[in-house]
Amino acid sequence: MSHIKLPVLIGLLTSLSVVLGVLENFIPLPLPAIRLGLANLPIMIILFFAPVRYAVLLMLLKSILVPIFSGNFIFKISLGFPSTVMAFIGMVIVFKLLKSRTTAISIGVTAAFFHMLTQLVVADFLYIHGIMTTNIVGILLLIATVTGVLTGVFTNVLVNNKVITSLFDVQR
Amino acid sequence: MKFKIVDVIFVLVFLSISLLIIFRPIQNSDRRLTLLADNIEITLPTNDKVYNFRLDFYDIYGTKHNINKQMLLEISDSNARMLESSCQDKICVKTLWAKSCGDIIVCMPNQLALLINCKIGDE
Repeated sequence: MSHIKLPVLIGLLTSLSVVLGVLENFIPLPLPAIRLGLANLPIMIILFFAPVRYAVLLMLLKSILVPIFSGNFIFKISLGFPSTVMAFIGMVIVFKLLKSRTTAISIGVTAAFFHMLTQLVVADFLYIHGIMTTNIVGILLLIATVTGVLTGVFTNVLVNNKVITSLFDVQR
Repeated sequence: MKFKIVDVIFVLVFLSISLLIIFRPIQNSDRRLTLLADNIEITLPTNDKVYNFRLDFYDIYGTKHNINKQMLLEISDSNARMLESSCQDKICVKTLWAKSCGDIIVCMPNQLALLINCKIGDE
């Protein structure tokens, strides 16, 4: 792969991730505090096609830039940064260990579950002590699992798309 | 679209964990309305009232509190909902009524939560 092309693609996918991260705040969902996790799609795509260090870069940029553009910076980054990092670690472990035996669905669902779990733990630690013992934890984790499956399905479609694969010069 | 068996296992494991947390045993005894504000736990009386958290209010022991937040909380039939909040997303207002044990209304930006607190399991 060309050394010039990959950084350009990383830049494009980072901007896509940031735009999706900000835009998904405006998608109305039946329950409050729920988001689809569309900003995770570019991270999962880069994980499939490029070395992990590029995905780390994209993940760090996304977790800092999305709170800047969506407002309420300190609050959102305090919840978003640790959860994005934990979700990413989960994704990388699943991807590296079970690469040949899984599809993007396992990776997406792991990311969504750990993202939500870390958010709740951080919220319990920093903001609302005792939130981990409430009903909302199970409901949010259940919804995270469902949204994780959705993002996994989207990623599966995208990583098997000829246009996307041709961008990364990968013969699949 | 190809699903692999490991995908199904992952989804089932995460679904099971979520469902186990949702349907864990909760006793309905000793039902309390607990307000968690700025890391302080305050037990509110269950009689019908609208609380304006800009003003002083009293807990069940008669202790006076002032958390000075621009929020309105309604308590009716021992259930609670947030009527107004100064936060940006209004997630607490959209949550509607907290009725059952373990239900919670959270306002993260204001660092406030209203929890229906019951004894869990054998505690």
